[in-house]
Amino acid sequence: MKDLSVNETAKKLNQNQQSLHVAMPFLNTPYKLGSAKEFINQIEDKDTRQIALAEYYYFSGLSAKASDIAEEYLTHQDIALRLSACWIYGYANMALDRITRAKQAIHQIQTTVASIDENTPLIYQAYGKCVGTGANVLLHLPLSENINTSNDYISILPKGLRLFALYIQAHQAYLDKQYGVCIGISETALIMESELYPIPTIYLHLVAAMGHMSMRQSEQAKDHLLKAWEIAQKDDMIEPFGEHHGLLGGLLEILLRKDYPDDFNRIINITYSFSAGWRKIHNPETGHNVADDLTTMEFTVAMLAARKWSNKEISAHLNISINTVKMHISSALQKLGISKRSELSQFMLK
Amino acid sequence: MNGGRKYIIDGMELNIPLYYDKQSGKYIENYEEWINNKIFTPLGHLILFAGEDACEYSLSIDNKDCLDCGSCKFYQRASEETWIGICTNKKERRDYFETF
Repeated sequence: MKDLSVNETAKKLNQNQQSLHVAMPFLNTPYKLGSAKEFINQIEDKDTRQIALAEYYYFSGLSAKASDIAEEYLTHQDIALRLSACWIYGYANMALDRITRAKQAIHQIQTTVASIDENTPLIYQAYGKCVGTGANVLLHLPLSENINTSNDYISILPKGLRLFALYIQAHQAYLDKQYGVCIGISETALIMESELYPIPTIYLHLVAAMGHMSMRQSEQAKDHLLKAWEIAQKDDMIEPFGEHHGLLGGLLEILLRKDYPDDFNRIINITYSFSAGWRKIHNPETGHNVADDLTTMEFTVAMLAARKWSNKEISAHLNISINTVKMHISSALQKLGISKRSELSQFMLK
Repeated sequence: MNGGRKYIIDGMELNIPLYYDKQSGKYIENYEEWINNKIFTPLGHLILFAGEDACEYSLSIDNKDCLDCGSCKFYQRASEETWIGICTNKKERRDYFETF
């Protein structure tokens, strides 16, 4: 895969900036691994550089810094900057338990999308559909009425955002229990990459892992998780792993806890803070009461049990004793006030 | 541990230790003793917690998949407030184990 130098990457982005702004410029760039910060510092346009920096901080798990920068652009007249800022600000403030601010940002996304019409440049229309769809899908919310559910906008997007839009599509397929479709979209998107776009590639590997775990294909799931980690490690892009912990069926425990204990603990801290905020938005909107008082390990075991994995299978998968599994199940059942594992699914992520 | 709860089953008193769970702010019953050891009541019934994997003799109480003891018609909880109980299937009785 072609590996652009930092200078070449920044030059391409700077050339694009001569016309319209690019939404999510950091996510949308094939920066060289290990050089994320260096790439951002070479972006000439100040606003693009600031948004890219906010993204960088968000994906590094530094939500407060991401929020501070993005806040300045929440009402910017440029749609691409505004949508990017609202998305980063919304998700960063979820992780910071500033739910009112997070909701305001998500509402601002919907308002911005609603204001886009046929006179808006086509690329900005595509940004609106991408961000509008993504903000809802990743919260596991139904799509709002003003979001066009057709996929025609994806081909208009620049490459990095196109890959991320495919991650969103795969994620929606996962939520619809179309796990084969989820895997198909994500793996095809990964194969078709001619350049490495690190951020969307991490997300595509994670959603592929989710799909494989749902089909009990643990080895394929592990393979994807390790590939995502290999990319993320170089620039400390750990936020996606914290966001997806509950959907990964213990893969982080199996693959990262022993060999990367410090990173694993940081990811778990992100999981707790992100998921607490996520639930405060998701649960009241959907009436789906995803459990909020289980430990990450209890949640992992409960998710697998809800998917009809036996205690013996969970023990083998997570490489922990069967009695430890039973203790986690026992705790989960009691905390949720249910008497059998068939009742777990109402409290679990889809 | 923070005290415990007592239940009577098959005429036998079960003392269930409690621990305080910070995450939920609740006191949780600890079934470690019965998870780690096969303990029978005086009437020969095996003491199990509700989340044990269903065995080969299980029968669903609601015509759905019987995945665990809690879903099985042979399982009898010591009380509505607890997740510990006994298996009343004769094939899980102590005398059955001792005979076969």
